[in-house]
Amino acid sequence: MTSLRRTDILSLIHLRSDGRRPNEIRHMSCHLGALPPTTDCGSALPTSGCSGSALVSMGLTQVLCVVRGPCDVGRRSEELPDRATLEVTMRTTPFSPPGDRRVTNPSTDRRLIEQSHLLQTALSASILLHLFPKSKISVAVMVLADDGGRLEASINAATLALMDAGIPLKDMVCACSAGRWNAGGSDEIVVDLNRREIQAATGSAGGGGGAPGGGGTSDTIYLPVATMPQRGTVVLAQCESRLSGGAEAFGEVLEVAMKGCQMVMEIMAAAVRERGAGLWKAKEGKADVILVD
Amino acid sequence: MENHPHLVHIYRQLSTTNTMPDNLFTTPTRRFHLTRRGKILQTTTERYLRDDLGYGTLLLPSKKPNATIAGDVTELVPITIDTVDMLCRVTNGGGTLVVVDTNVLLHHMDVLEYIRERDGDNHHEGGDDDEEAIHSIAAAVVIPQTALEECRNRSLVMYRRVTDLIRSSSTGGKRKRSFIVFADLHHVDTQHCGADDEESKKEEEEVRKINDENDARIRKVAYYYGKALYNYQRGRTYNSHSDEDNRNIEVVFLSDDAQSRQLAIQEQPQQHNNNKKGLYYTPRSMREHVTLLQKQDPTLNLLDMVAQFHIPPAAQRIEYYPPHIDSAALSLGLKTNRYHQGVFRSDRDSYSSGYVTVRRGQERVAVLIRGGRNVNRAVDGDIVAIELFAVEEWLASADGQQSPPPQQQQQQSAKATKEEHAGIAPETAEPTLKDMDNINEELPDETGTLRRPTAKVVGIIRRNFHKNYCGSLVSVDHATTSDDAHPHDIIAAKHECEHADGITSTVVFFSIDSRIPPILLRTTQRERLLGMRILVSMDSWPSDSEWPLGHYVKTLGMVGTKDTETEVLLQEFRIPCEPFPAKVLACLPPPDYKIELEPGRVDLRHLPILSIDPPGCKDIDDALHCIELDNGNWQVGVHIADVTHYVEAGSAIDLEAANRSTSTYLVNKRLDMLPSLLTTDLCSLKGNVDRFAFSVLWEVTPEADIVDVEFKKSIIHSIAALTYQQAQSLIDKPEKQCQNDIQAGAVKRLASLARKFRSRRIKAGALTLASPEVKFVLDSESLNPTDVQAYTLYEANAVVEEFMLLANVTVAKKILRHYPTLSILRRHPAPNRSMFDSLIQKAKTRGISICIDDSKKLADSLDAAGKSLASDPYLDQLLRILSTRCMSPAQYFCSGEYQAKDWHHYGLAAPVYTHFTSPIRRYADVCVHRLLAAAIGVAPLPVFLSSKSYLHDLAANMNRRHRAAQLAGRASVQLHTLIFFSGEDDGGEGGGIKEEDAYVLDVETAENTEPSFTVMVPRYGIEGRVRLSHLATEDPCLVRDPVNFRLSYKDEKSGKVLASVAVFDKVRVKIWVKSSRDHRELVVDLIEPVRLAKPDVVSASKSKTKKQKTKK
Repeated sequence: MTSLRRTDILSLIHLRSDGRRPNEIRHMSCHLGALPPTTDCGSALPTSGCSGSALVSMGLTQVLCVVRGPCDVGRRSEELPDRATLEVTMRTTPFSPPGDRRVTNPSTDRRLIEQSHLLQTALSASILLHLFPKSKISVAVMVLADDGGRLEASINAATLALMDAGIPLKDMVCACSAGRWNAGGSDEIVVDLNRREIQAATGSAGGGGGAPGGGGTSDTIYLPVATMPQRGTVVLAQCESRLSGGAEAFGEVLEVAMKGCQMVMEIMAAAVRERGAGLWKAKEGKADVILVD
Repeated sequence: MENHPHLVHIYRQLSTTNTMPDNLFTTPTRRFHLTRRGKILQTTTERYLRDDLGYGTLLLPSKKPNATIAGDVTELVPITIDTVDMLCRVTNGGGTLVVVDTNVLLHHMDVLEYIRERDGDNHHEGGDDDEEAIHSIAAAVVIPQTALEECRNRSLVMYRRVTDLIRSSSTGGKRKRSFIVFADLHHVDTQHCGADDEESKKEEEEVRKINDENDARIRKVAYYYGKALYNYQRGRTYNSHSDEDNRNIEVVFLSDDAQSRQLAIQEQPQQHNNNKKGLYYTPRSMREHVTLLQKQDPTLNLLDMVAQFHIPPAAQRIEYYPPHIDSAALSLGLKTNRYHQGVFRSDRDSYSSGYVTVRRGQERVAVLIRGGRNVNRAVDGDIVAIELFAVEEWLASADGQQSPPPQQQQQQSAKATKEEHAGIAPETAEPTLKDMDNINEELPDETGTLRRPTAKVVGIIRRNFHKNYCGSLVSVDHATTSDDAHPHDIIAAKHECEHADGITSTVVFFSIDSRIPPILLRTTQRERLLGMRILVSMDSWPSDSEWPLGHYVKTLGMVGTKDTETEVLLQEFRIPCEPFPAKVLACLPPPDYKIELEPGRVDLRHLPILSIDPPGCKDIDDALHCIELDNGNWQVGVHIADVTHYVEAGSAIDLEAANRSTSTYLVNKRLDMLPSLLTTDLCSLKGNVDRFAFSVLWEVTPEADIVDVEFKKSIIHSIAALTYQQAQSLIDKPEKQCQNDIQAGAVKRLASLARKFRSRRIKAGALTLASPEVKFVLDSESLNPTDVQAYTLYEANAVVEEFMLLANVTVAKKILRHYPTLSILRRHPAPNRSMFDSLIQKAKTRGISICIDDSKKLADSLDAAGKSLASDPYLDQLLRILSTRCMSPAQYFCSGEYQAKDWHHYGLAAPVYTHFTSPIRRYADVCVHRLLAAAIGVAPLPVFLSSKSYLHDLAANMNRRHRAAQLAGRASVQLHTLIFFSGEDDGGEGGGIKEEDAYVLDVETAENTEPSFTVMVPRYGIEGRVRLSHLATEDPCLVRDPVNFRLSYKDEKSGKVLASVAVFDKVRVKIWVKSSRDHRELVVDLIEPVRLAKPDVVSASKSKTKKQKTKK
């Protein structure tokens, strides 16, 4: 019944509402070293102790990430004997999520806590934490603007900030989402969903993961995925929708999301090289810069 | 994901410069919304511009068929037109390319959809390749995305038609025109940089600005195409220097907005070269464009389909209606509660009165709108704004109807003639909005007396003009416009005229639906349309036009022929009647499909299962068995065709069935919900073949106590397909003769159980209702009705019904236990007291009291009445028929949407009820089968059945379709009744005129009305109004007794009552068909009591009976 179909994700001529084709990611820009690195750890400034930072925008979603450390663990109880503690916090700015009226408290907001946990899982797969026992690496993410996919943008920003801070990684962790609509018998799989598309998929205003079971038209999947593209490892794939098509359908969506991650990786690698080249130039060719490739 | 070089291109650039090229990325657009809490929200969306969109996109079927669950479906793939060369190929190198504006999409879809079919008569000799013959509006139609989206916002119905058209134009055989979608919002070259700097604050200015901006965008598209083609063609002529391929493509911008057309000319830079017009593209209105086409090819009849918005200027302009208030004042008035918003619903028999439901705090009130000027051009279904009249002007409660104002009298008389149509008696009450939504009709005024609020329409918020109406033209003989002409003739005579352009004339169209006013059409083929049933669409209703303007859509066929009228009623009730599409047929099992036992099914082929159905039944969906078990109990099984085995959830066939929702049974035709391979063969539980079934198996004691119940998917082998009559003869067979007869034994056991179940049900308060249905005996060849028979009900009918009820209730309980919020159930609301009031009063005149507090009391009071009326057994049935009519029909619903107490089925006195037993012809049963299968764990529940919103839509659609199927069925009976009574093969003079006994249902006792009463003729199941038009309304001898519903005729001098007619009286009537040129109607005239009857009718009938006597 056509009357049951509420939102068109793809227009008649297979363009999305913002003019992309199903397999195109949003315009993405990365800026490493967005904040000046400081050595001063004592001051109350948010940038204090900043050893690396990155500003990433995917479409209209913009995320700033600051990495501190490795440094001393403040509290003894949090100290780990064999590896470094990874502390991840996510915040939003009062103006960031359109529609959200309040500043969410990062220590109580459910979605933020959940996403910072996810972020931590994704990152600890790549960071060589065992190199820094008894120390702490803290990653602070500030969501400046949210047009859907803030978790993916945060993961990308955190990776770049970690690289900017010079923390050894196994591989870059790149994140991208994919979604699927089973509408009228024809499958529509799209990559890198924006807020509008996520809303259509999950039926919630989701600033990231939608509320599980919160309505949502059936047969839709919204799947944020983080991979280490050069190794082909999936480090995060979070799906809260009910899977109707079984594992096969899920696999298709995952594959599309991984291809999205590959595209994200290319852009991120380019940004890293550019940063490296900039640093190199600053050093007037005295030192060689090792690029991740 | 294949390569997408365009994307890589962007990012390569990106990786080197780290900035997006300016022309590929626009700044985000910001919009502000006011939330319900009064906060202002800003939403920001991005819009990407692309350089790979070329000259629009076509949808073409892909080469490789896409194998999906739904079978092989050729998917449509968007193909981008990259070069002008390709564009020329799309338009076949010549002709016109039309860029359409939003208003064209909204109002001229019929023209866009038009393709001339190849019929030999009015076709040129040249055949298909003849360039002179025009088949459609243009070689290519460009639909800008802006127009498409604006159309979507304005009217979803039209949007669907546009998208269907875009999809279908590329698939249907030989293409004569292409539809190109142009994504102008995302195209680099048509990016509109509107005047963002001007910030107009006022709301209406804002709206106008948006409209202007959209118009400008669409003009830009036309400009883009015009320029590209112009440059291309100029380049070609320079290069080739030959005239052989000199067919230029003309770009036409179609818009009905004169201002936009004007701007189109002004905006274009003038070309000073050899081009004819010096313009890249030509702006034209639809009428101009089609008139040009029509002049090229006079056989094209496209001009009739062009929408009309103005009546041709007449000598003097008459404002028939007060002007509508403009939208700004309207929204202000709505906010300040000066006006109220609601949907206008016409009364069933008149377009010049109706009601609007208005919210008043918590409660809702139906506000009456009476009279043409007050209705002010609103048409049934429009969303209107109304202004209430002062309380003093409200109508006094129901009885005191005011006499209509003089200006309406003409319309009133038109209404009056419609009312008198005799016809098939309805089975149940209309499922009124009032009844279902609990809307008040009366409000107390200051003094506390109840009054019915009245109002007038001041503005129309949204038109309901997207429907096609069925009807015909009235032929006017200008010479004979006498005084007693039919009101239609008067209207037609007044408005028919020729137009100045010499080819068109205005004619008046009358819809079959009496809620629709006459429509003025402008046509070039008046002579050809007379006496035809045509489809017409409404366009506009300016205040200086007495009637709305419309355009012709399609001819259905000759008036009065059975096939045409059948099609008319299918159209009227929107019954899907087109053959199943290939996509659906692809879901059917292959021809060599064999039914074999498969894992997960129980083999019940050893059981003596038999089916009992009416004779000639093709779609047998239920079968029964009953055997004795070793422990002395009986096993009873109800086996239902396993339709869901063949109809996979979510497949094309399933979606089609969900849309159709029900099979429709007409007198001469059956419109199936599923393709006939399933309906009459694979699913039908025919005798002596293996079939899949869904079985409900009970273990019951011979005393009809249920011990156990099981639900099983099974395979069965029916040993006999009995008719009711055969089954009855088995029941009646003496016990001795059927010792070894398996069939008789089973049927007898079933019958004995059914009796016990039934008496238990009646004890619980189930109603025994009746319907006035009759059956036609059709001629085997012509399918014309030759006789009317009452349904013969055997005990066998009741046996089958009893077990179906039992199965339905059992299944309802089972699925409800597993899916308390997702079950599809059926509820029957308790009747509204006000609906019963008049029946209770009428019954009182016969000393019968009817109590409707609950179904048990109603059943008891009906039974008591039946006993007290033992003198005439039909009266008992009549009472039951009338009570049925006071109830609203049962409805499907999703259990999560109502509270448990509202699940009750009043008529059956069951707390829960559903439909499980006819999946071949009802979609509800298909859903219930899936729910039950999931409940017993044999198949997972399809995902969409767990979405409540989907279930809501599904139930609403099923209710709507069910109602429509019922109405269509009744209309079909009505049509055949007409044919039957106007039949010539009856022998007697005057065709099929019949004299019959009838019962009085209602008597018109209001003063100053024409004396009349309604009767029901049980023999034919028809109901009609008997008009005593020979008696003057003020006749002193006529006495009206509203308390006893009695009309009596007194002797002038003595005052003795000579004759009287009261409710429930038995009278004798004559039924005949009065036919005029354009329509036929059934008329019921009184014969006895003689003193009240028309003298001429009586004398005619007397002479007839005499003749018959002498013959004998």
